[in-house]
Amino acid sequence: MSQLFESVQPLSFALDYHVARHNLITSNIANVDTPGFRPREITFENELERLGGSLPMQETREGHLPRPDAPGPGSMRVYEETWASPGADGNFVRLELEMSRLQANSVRYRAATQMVAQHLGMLRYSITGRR
Amino acid sequence: MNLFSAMEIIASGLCAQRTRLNLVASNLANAQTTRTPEGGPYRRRDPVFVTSPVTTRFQELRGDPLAQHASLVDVSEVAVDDTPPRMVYDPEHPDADTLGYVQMPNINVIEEMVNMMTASRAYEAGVTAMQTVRSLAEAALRLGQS
Repeated sequence: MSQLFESVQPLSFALDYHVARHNLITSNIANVDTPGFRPREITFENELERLGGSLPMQETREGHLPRPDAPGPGSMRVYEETWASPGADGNFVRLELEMSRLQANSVRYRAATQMVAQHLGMLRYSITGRR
Repeated sequence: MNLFSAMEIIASGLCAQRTRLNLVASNLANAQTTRTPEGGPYRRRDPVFVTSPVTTRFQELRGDPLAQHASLVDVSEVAVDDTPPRMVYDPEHPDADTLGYVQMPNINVIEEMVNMMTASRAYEAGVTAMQTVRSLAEAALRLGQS
């Protein structure tokens, strides 16, 4: 039974990731005027590795992404972003950058939801025989 | 190199133009300022733009050749214009020297207005480019709906 939804499992993680990232980006935008605020960003390199257990990545061609050697703790890591020139109040938020990330993130989220819908549609098709 | 890095590149351009607009606003606001903490009249400020590589970890690992050609823009420093101050004859001014001349900021208001317009056009161009990238991404998403 678990194999039935195996293909949807990584996608559900993708949805989680994009929702978490959306929350972070909106919090960065909300704090655009907070003195000394450092925007937060999320990385999921370790999470990719954790998924690697059930969905092994393989290097089949030269130039493919090598598999990370050390398995991580398996969680999305949130870190603070800083760069050379903060605003006068020590705020590092770049509104334009956050807005572009928000757009890109929402496109990615919709791509992931479409893929989930297609996977479930295929399952439904195999059960009922009807499209 | 993908649509999302295009978005990031455009966002860096928007940030840079916003910084430029801020400095133009500061120059215009201080066009008559004769006193500053460092002494003397206000001096014109100008941003210095510098390219900065698009480095995402993923592209780094893939050795993406296109990523090496596209680059972000960054403000490396704010340059202070060292041209001599404008000398205005105004003996009544508290900052006038013994001959009655006042050192006024080295700001040409018309030049600043032109700078402001170019910065704002560049910003608008960036916004349009961003909308185009977004509609392209949405078109790509529609490929999956049939």
